[in-house]
Amino acid sequence: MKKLSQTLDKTYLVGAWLSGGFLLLLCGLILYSILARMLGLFAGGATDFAGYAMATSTFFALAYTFRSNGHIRILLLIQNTHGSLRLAIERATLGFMSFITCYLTYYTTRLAVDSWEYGERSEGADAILLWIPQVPVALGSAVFALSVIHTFTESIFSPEKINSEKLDLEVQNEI
Amino acid sequence: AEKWDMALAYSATNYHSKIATEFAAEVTTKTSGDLEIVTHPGGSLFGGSEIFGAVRRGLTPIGERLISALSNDDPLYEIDSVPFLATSFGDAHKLYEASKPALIKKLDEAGLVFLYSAPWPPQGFYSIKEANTPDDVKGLKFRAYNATTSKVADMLGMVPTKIEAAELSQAFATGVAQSMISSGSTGYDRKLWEHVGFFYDVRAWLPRNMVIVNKKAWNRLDKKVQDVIRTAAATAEDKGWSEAERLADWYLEEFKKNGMSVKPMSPEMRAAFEKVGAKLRDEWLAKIGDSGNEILSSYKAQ
Amino acid sequence: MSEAVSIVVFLGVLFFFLGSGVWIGASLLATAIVGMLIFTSTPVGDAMAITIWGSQSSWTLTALPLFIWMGEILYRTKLSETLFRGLTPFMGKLPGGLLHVNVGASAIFAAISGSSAATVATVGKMSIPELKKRNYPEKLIIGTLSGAGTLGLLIPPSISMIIYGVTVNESIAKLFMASMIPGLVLALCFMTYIAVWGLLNKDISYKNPTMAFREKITALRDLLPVLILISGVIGSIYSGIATATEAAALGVLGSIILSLLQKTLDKDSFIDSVLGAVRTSAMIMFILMGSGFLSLAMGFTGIPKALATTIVHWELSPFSLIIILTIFYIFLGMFLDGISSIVLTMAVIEPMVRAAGIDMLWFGVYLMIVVEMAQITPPVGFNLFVLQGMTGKDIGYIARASMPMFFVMCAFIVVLFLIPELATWLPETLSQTR
Ligand code: NA
Ligand code: NA
Repeated sequence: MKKLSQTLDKTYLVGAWLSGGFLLLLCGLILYSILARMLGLFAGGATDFAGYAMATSTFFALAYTFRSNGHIRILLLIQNTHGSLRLAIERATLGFMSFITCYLTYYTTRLAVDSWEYGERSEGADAILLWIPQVPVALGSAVFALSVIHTFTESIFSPEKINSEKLDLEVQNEI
Repeated sequence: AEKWDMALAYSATNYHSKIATEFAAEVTTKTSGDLEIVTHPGGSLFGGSEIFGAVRRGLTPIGERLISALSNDDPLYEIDSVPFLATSFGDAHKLYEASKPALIKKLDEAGLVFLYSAPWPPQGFYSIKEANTPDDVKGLKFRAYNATTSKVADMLGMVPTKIEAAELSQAFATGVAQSMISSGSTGYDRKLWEHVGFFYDVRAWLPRNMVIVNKKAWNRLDKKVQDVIRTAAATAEDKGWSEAERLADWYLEEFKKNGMSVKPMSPEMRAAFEKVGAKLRDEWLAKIGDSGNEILSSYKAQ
Repeated sequence: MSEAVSIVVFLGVLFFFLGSGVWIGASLLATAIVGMLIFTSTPVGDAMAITIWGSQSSWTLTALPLFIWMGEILYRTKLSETLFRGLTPFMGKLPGGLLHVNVGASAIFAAISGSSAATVATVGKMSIPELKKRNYPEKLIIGTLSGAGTLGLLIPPSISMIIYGVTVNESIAKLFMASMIPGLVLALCFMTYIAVWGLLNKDISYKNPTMAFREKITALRDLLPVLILISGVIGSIYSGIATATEAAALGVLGSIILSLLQKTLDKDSFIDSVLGAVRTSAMIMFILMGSGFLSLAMGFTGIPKALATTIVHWELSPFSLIIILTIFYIFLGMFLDGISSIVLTMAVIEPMVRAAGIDMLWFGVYLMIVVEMAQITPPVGFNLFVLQGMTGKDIGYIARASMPMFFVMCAFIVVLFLIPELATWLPETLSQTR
């Protein structure tokens, strides 16, 4: 169980690394389009690919961000409740978050599948089949959902890990 | 009573959007509210590049899209943007009629019902400096937005540069772009005379918008309501064509009023452009295959 | 009347989810889902997916993660420390001291960035730790930053301004000119607030070390790299090397080069900067997904349009019209981001404003300020979210800290109404000389 949890956490970290790679790619693509203009080349689909790189980068980082408390929420209620009530609220919000992220995963997957079935192409100069950049978005959503369910499961079986009573975002979010 | 949300990419003041709004009002009144169509201009529902996919997937039953934006999907969608194939409103209308059956069929395969199509004013050449000979434009930074326009630039010795529509006027203001091919409405809507001195009335092609309906949503309607829509669509299409023709001249008058030099192409430039046009036309024919020849022969027969 | 019901439903659902502590992005998504289910027959999930895909892969948004990354690099290279040391001799003596840096840096950064979230994230990353170190009260640090970050929209380049210009068919060049003086005056207003606060709170002492003359010269030299970087990026935009969106990548490249030259960047800090950037970006993007979908849901229900139509029927005088519109946009700004507020309402608002004889350039500037205010009002205010992510303070605290800046902006709208020349003078003068 513990091992599974560690493996999963490693998966999220790999996602974050890939996300970073795509951020570098995004920067490179935009620098390339500036350079191409200076050299008189046509940068073609560079701006479109930059958009896809950004989407991929974002979605691959969602899970890591969630597990490292990077996503924000309003803590007014949670901070003013204690004990089992607080734990119940944590579980309820995590459960709901699990539902929303699964919903997101289901429909981003459907989007990619539908684009693939129809053979939908980008309208830009890249003319790429849209399912190709849409698959990483669906994949990122799935890992995001997994990370939420992971935390949700922890909140049920090992609530001490959630440790919401001591949750102090000021410590966790270094400035 | 049913409500249809109609996704429009262009701003409410643009004539395409105005005509679509009148179309929507006509359907709503003539069906006595059985079908209410509400327009959402300016990409406020779905952005331009999402509209085709959104209507196809049934996320909104009706929408309007620039046909040639879909040319990556099929060369048929590009027919109105083949340079120098149809350069007047009369020819463009003939070409539209000739290609309509194929277009309707193509859209039907995608689960869409074609309603009507209206043109943009002819494409002209915008330049920051006088362009009387091909030498004049050599080395100018030409705003290209797809493979075809970048080939135009290459063949004329210009430097194709990719500028997104959102940054168009800024690009001309700062010199990121120095020339482009576009319709008069682009220059008017973006007030390009502030940065661009010359407009050449090339009339390279007349791109068109089309209004499409999701087939499932269409089939749910009563025959009576469908007939009302068809009638309103025909009216809108007529309005669109005559409005585009009127505005084509009006835009040029506005350009002149604002100190832009508006001229026809010099013979040398025209020859250069037509050479490029012929090459691109051949390339397009090779891409589309026999169906293209069929359309073209039916176009020429009219 | 059905609008009233829809508004109550949206409000109720949104406050319920946000209040119970559901993550903000998910709260917005859920509110949109509920709204779509109740008020439309559209396939909700598919509409959500295509909206998210469209906005998240949009090229215009690429500047945001890049600017965030730029901030992470500059923060890790201790450039911020040098910057603050450099500014101390010049600003330390002013009432309010180095708090003015928040406003000044935001105004300067606004000249290279088109979004206010990027402005807050980049400037805040550098200034919050430095100001905290020097004992400035946290509430003031956060409040002034959140307020001054809104300058990102007003000082050109500005994405919202371009969208307004294209929507109402006004010259973007003139709009940019029109917003320059108001942008600077608003920055001065923020600084006046800080100065007044400083005069009223003389007893609070901050650690501003006094310096010898030679140290001051060194400090001045320390300012140079940052000045070169910023002016290089601004220069690239105005000389036609890069578009305003592409400039972000040059900003990243410039900060990397700068930190390599200063030997402050190593492999570890580089990787940290990348991971920090993707983490902050993912946080903001998740909220953007929610707000984009909520905006679609509102578009389908037609609430913003219906409200705007109601105002049209009142046939108000220009002065009362501006008051009502201010309230209207502040209200919309509770749920929507600025760009959505603009595109969802302008079709109805534009003819009314023109009919009232209001100058459209002036209105563009006014509109930027009112949608900026939406960035710092709860529950949906992007500057608040960015600052919550950076400081870990609760959104209520940040919203309260930003309140004074909100009122400064309200006051500025009055000034702008009384002296419309602030916006109209520069474009008129410059276009006459052409
Ligand atoms: Na700006
Ligand atoms: Na707000």
